[in-house]
Amino acid sequence: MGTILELKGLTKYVRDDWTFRRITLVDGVDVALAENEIFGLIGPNGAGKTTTLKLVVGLLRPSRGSVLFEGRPLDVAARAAIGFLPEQPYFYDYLSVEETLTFFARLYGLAADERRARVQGLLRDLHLEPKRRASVRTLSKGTLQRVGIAQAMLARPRLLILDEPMSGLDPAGRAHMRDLIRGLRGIGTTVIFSSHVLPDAEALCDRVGIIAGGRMREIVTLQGAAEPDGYLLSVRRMTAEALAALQRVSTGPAAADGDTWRVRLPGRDAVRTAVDTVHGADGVIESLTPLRPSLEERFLAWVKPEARLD
Amino acid sequence: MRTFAIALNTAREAVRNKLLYSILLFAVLVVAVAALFGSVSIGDQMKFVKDFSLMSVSLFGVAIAVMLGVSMLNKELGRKTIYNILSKPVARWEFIVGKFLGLVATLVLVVGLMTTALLAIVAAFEGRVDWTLALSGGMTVLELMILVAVALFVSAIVVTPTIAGLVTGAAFIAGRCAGYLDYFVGADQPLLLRSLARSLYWVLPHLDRLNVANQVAYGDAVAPEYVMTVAVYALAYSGILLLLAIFMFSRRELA
Repeated sequence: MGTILELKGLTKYVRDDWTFRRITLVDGVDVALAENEIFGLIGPNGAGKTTTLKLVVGLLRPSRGSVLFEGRPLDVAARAAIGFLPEQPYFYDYLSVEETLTFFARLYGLAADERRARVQGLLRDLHLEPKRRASVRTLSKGTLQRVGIAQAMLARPRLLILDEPMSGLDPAGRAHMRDLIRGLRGIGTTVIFSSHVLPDAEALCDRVGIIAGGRMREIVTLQGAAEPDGYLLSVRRMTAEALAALQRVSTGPAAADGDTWRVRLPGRDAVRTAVDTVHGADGVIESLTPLRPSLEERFLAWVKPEARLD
Repeated sequence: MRTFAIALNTAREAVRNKLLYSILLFAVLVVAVAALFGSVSIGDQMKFVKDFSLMSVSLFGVAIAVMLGVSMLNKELGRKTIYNILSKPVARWEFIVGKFLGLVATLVLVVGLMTTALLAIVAAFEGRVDWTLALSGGMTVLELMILVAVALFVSAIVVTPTIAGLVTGAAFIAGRCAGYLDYFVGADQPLLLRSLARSLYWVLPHLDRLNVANQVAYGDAVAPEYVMTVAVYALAYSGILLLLAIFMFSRRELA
């Protein structure tokens, strides 16, 4: 799969109005998104998530670095292939849901027939038909968020950028939003979304970028391909000699729980040796569990204690 | 198409604004009452009524132009609705031009309604349609077009709508008084004053040249060449301001 979006050394700083001191909001972010990937950008409040996404869509200009979309600098014309849902989407109070979507469809330059078809399709797919004539000022947070998603999907974007899409949604709304994002992958859309809700990111993303203090601290692969940090082997009916042999390939002492012993193994070679040892001693393997630190553990390792309280 | 969509949406926002209706209703009432008072008077009183009514059309138009011109861009920025627009394939110049065209279309509608009311009332009492009133209405639209360009330019620079409103209002007053600058550019004036007056002469909008209410009310002819010249001036002045507004807005960060 090719790269659809690439951020190279993306940096944004502003000057304090009074002291002219430089305040860095985003500091040298490097990341490349593959086609059809779901990428999560997580971090505490004020970490630089929204600023990064605004830099991507061109609402802010980078102080340094670049944003490449399909290998080319992201300009106004390229935005025809990008959908964006801002944090807490804002719409015109005096427009109905259908008028809102029709207006945005015009901004994508869609011809009248195409415009009508896409608006009707999205009203149906996002369960907005009963509200089509309702003024947006009367809508609940969840419905507004669906209107926001609908306007971002009008151009059938190849890249969808969602800033805190789960924010303010009830559990049913969150579940619906998760299904929606998963469904987008099915039609070939790449999704990047920001969140500070880790379970949402864990449930949806192929990879997650942890951003803190404006810097991309770590990119964590979540789905399938990630190599575990180690393995936990649980065995029973072990002889003293076999247990000693196991301890020689483990990363720590064996822990007993009744007649069950648990050892931590550093990698696949150690697992192979340990399994042979257990079989050779007529022992019983109860379980073999890959050890991956949770996203929360990784996240908290990068986030300062005071930021966790935000 | 995108510029047209933004213009249409801007006009729709203005038309659905209840405050606009209140001002418009009040303006039509003032024009009607003035005309009715005139109808019970005799002779030259009708000329005074036309003058007063045209002045009302102009002043209410200015109030609406300043209110809409200043609030439209600031509302987009304040309510962050602009994020949904400029994240799409819309260039910033398309946004500014769209806003401008939408506001001008609204003002054509507003001045058109007030002028039509005046035309109808005057026609009822004079027994003929005085089309020069429509000419005055057209010149008012040109004047308001300049004011909207001023409002957009100022709003593209300053963040506070109150300041933008005050500056636009000041530009209107200065523009209406621009003719007095002629007195200060004479050779008998001190050099510094002459230089200042000459600079202001080129910078300030000559709104006084677009106000033909007096001539129209008192039946003086307004030469077509004059109308053409000031129309070209109004378009050029608005165009230059619009370019400056686009330049300033394209540098603005949408934090």
